Amino acid sequence: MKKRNSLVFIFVVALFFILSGAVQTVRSAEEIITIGYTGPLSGGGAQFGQNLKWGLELGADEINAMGGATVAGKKHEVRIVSMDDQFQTALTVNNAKRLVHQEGAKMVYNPSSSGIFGLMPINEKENFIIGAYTTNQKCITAGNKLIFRGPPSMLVYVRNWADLAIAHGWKKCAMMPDAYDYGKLWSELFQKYWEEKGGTITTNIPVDFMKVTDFYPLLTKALATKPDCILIGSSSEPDAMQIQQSRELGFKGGFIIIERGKLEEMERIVTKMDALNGCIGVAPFLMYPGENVKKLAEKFYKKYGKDKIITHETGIAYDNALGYVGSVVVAGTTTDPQKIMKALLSGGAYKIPFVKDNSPYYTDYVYPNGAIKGKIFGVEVQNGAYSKPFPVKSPDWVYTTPY
Amino acid sequence: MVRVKKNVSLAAHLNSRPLGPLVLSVSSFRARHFVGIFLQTIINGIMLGSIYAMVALGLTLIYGILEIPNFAHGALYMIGAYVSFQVMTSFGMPYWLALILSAVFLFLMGMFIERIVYRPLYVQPVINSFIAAVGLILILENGALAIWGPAFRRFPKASSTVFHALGMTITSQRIIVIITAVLLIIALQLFIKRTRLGAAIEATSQNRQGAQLMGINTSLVGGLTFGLGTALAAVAATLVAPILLIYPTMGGPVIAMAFVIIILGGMGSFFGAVVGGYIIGLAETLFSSYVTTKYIDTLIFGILVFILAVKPTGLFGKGH
Repeated sequence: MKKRNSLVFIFVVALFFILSGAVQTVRSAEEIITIGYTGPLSGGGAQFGQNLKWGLELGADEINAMGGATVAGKKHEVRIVSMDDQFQTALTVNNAKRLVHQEGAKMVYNPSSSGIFGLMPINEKENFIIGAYTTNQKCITAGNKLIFRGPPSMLVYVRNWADLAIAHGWKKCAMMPDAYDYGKLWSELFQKYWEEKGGTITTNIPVDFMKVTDFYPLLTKALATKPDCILIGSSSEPDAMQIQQSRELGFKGGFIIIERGKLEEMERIVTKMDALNGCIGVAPFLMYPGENVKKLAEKFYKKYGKDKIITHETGIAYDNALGYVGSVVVAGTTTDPQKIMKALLSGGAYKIPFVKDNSPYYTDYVYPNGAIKGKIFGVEVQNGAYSKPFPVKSPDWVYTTPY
Repeated sequence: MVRVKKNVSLAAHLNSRPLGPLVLSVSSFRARHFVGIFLQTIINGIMLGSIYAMVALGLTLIYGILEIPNFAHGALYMIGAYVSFQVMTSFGMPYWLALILSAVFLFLMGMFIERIVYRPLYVQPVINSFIAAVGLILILENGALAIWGPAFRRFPKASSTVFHALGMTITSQRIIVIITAVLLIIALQLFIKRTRLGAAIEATSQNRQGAQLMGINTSLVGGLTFGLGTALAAVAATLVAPILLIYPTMGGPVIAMAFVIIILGGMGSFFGAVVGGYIIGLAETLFSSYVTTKYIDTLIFGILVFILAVKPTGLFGKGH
C-alpha cells in the first residue's frame, strides 16, 4: 500500500512538472523570433491579460501565414510565449527572466505599470526590450533605452474626456477610480486638470473592484455629494454594474470612464443601453475607421469565436507585435535589441507592407523616447446609442514631457 | 414597503395624525436625506451580513467536523454561483429552481470532497489538510476559469424591481436575500436542535469519539455536515449573484471575511457565526458610508483583535 502510494505520488508530481513545461523540449534557436508575454491570465485582471495575449497571437499568426518574416535573407517564424503573473511584480520579473534566458525572447510585453517598473532596472543589463502596455508616462521618461510603449499617454485620455465633460456644462465630478496605483495616478491627473478648468471634485472614493462585495454603500456615498458626473475606473463589468446600480439609485448624470473599462464589454452587462447614456470613453474598437480594423476583427472572430469581444487592447497589442517584428526585419538581426530598438524608433517598421497593410491604427510614428503615437477615438453614449467616434487630441508634449 | 411617489400624500396623511407636524418638520429635506442614507446603509449592512452569516455558518459547521477551517469553502461558494448561472443560461430554469439545484449539487460535491480529499487526512497532521485545501482551491478556480473564462459575468434575469421609500432605494433581490437568509438560519437551528440527525451532527462536532461510542455513524454524519455547509455556501452565492458579478476568484474576499467572522464569533459556534456575520456586515457598510472606503480591512481586523483581546475564544467560543 505504501509503495503504491509513493509511486502514484511520484507519477503525479512528474506529470505536473511535465505539463507545466518545466521540462523543455529542445528548440532550435535560429529562424524563430520569440516574443515573451507576462501578464495576468488568472485572477481579477484575467480578461485584460487575455485581450492582450490574443492581440500578440494574432500578430504572430499574420506573419506566419505569409511564411514568416524575412530577416537577413532567412524566413523567421514568430512565436509568442505567454506566462501568467497575476499582476504580481515578483512573478513578472521571474517570468521575464525565464522568457529571456530559457525561451530566447528579446522583447517582453507586459501590461502592468508596477511590472514594467520592476523590469526597468534589469532589462538593459539582461539585454531585452520591454514592450510596455501602459499609459504611464514615467516609464518612457526615465531614460531606459530599451523600452517602447504601445498605448498613448494617460494625459491624452484625461484631457480629452474632461474637455468633453466640461463642454457639456458638468462642473461637479465625484471620483470613483480603482483602488490601485493606476487609478490613483489617473485620478490625480484628472483632478488637477478638472480643477484647472474650473470644475470641482466632490469626493474621492476608490473602488477595490476585486474585493467589493456590494457597490451600493460606495454609490450612496458618492451620490450624496450631488455630482454632475462620476469618474469610474474598474474593469468593464464592475464599471457596468456600478453604472446600472447608480441608475437604480436615481443618478441621471454622466460617467467618465477610465480606459480599463471598455464600452463594448460594458454593453453586455447593463440591462438596457440607455443606462449608459452620458458615458464618455474610448470608442469600441469596431467603430474605428479603416479596412485594417475589419480585417483584424474577421481574423479574431474566426480564431477565438463570435461570442468573444474584440477591444482596443487586442488592437494595440496586435499593432505592437507587427511593429516589433517589422523592426527586427529593418534591423536585420533577431539577437541585438539595441539595433532593433533603433529600427523601431526610426519608424521604418511601419513602412513595411505586412505592417502597413495590417496596422489597425495606421501607426506611423514613434517618439525618440519609445512612445508610439496613438490614434485613439473617443465616443459618447446618448439616447441609447453611440455617438459618432471623434479623434482625440494628442499633442506632442503629452508624449515627451515627464509627469 | 411603501412606494412613495410624491411627498404631498404622505405629508397630508401625517398632518392629520398626532405628532404629525413634528414628524413632518423632522422630515425636512436634509433630515430625510440623512435618515434615508442611514436606513439605506443599515439595509445594505443587513444584506451583506446575511451573506456573510450564511457563508460563516457553513464554514463553522464544517469546522466542527473537520477541525480545520475548510479553506476551499470560498471556491465552493464560487462554484455554487456558477452552477446556478449555468443552469439558468443553458436550460432557462427559473431562479428558485436553479438555487435549489445548485444547493443539491454542491451538497453532493461537499460530501464527495469530504470523502475523497479530507477523510484520508484525518489521522495525518493538520498541515496536510491545509495543503489539500489549497490544492482544491487551485483546481476549482482554474477549472472555473477554463470553463467560463475570465470575464466577470452578470447573472441572468437579474431583478429590476426597485422600491423607493423613506429616502432609501432597495431592490427586490436585496429583500429576498435578507428574508431567505433569516428563514434558512432559523430552519437550520431548528434542524440541529430538534431532529435526531441534527443532534448527531452536534454530538459529532463536540466529541467525535464520544459520538462514535454512542453508536453514531460519524463518517456518514461528517460527510452530511460537509455537504450541508457547502450547500449553504451555494445558496449564499446564488442569492447574492444577481446583485454582484460572478468571476472565478469571487470566493476570495468572502472567505477571508468568513474566517474573521468565525474566529470573532468563536470557532464551531452556530450563534457566533450568525451574530459575527451581521456585526461584520454592518460594520463594513457603516464604515464605508460614513468614514472611508479605504481601510475596511484594517477596521475588520481591528475589530477582530479587539474582541479576541477581550475574549480570546471569540464571542461565543467554546475554547477548543
